[in-house]
Amino acid sequence: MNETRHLTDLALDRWVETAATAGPDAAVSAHLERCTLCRETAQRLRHLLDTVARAPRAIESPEDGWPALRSHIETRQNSVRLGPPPRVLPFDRGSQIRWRVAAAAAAVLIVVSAGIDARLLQRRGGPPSAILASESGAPAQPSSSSNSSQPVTAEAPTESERRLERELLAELELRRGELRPETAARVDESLRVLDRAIGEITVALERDPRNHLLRQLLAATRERKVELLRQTANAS
Amino acid sequence: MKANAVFIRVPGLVAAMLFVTGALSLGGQAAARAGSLHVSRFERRIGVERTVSLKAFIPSGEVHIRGWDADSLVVRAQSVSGIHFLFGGDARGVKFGIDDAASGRDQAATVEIWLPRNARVSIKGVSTRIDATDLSGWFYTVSGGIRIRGRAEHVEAESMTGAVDVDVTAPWVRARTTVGSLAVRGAVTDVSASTISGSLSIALPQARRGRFGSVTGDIRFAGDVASGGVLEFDDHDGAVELRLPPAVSSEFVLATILGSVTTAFETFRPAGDVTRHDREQAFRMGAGGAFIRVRTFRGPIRVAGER
Repeated sequence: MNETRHLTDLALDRWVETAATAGPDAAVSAHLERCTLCRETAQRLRHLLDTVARAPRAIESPEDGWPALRSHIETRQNSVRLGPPPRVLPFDRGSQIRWRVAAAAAAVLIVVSAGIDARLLQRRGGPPSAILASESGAPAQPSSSSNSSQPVTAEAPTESERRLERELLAELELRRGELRPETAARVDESLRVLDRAIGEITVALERDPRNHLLRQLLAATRERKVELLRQTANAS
Repeated sequence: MKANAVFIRVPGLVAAMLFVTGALSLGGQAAARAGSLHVSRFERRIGVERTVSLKAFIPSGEVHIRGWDADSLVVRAQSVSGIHFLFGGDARGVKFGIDDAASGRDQAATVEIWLPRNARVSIKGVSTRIDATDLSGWFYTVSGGIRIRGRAEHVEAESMTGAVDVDVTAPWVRARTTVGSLAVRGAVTDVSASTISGSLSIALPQARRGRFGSVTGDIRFAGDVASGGVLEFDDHDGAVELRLPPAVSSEFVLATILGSVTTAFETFRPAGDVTRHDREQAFRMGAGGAFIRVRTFRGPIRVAGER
């Protein structure tokens, strides 16, 4: 038989995917026995799928990289201040500032995209994260008791929630200089109020981990904090 | 040499006249220039589609924006400092703003805008006070207040630190502030309103879906819930007070961790038993077609019949 017609990518994909589970297509198998090129392609595909399967389900972004980035920026700013006055033209100075802003923006972008990637990977194959009662969208039902017999499975915020909060806090730090001092002070005051409330609920939850009411209050207060940070992002 | 001397020696009277004339002329020009700096006026009128979108940035001052039945957009602005007004767009979309790059000048402006009722607006300010009537869209100011009236399809009003007052007939309203007070009134079907430490006041005759929250601000609700509606109130330290008609038809769950729950049953008679569990009350009023839930950490909860 003349083997000038090779298998399509789609046929190869299907064959590789079904080879391990369901019975592979006999015609495709027969073709692969005869055709070296298609066989090699199928082997490469299988190798790729194996590699992907071995890959971690979620990739953790660097643990809160903003403090390190900020201290690095501050160190550089201090060294510029302490050193001899640089002989730069106004254009070059502007360019330097633009580069710094671009570098900071790029760093934030990396953290954000890592977060998105991790979330996507989690959604595709990772264990489903616990959905908060108040976020589930299910119709609310009255309950006679705030203490359920079922343990509350997700008292701590999920990693994605923590990451979102960190990203928004990092954005607030980046934009702080653009806020009027009185506005920044009000935002800080509100954040303190929220953190105090979150702290109180968290302590109460540690004492009474099955308390659904505390869990719901915690979710609502965290949501309010995220809203505040998002609002602040619009303020500059 | 003598001729030159004659030429230079100008009679005193003529010299004085020339000096006075010159001085008056220069003074007049300076005054004219000063006058042009004191007031900058801007006016633009264009025909637009009824669903035109408007984006406006006014850093400070006040904006009065109104929806009307005409198919045109009018912008009038005035500032005391000679700042630059920016305007661009076509019948489908318009951008208007104040050039905030003009540093060292007070950019406060008074702006009046009229545009079709079905327009979508997006207004952003810094210390700007926003006053809108009969329009849908997004209204945002950092430290100024927001007041929205009339009919709208949807309203999203956010002030970082200012007061927000929304009194509209609209299917959908979302309003936020942090330390400022927030009031939502009118006929709104679906509403979400929250503050951090500002007080939250809601007066809705037939709310269907509502989420109201604060952290330390008090929440006061007066009105009724539509059949099948769901209202949720969350607060940490603030008090939550609901004033409802005695004939309200709803299930209630009122729960607090450290606060108190008070139901004025003398004005408010439940249809069945009241379930009490620690700091929680659950009961039904009327046929119970709706659901109202209140949760606080420390804030007291009080439910009473409307006076």
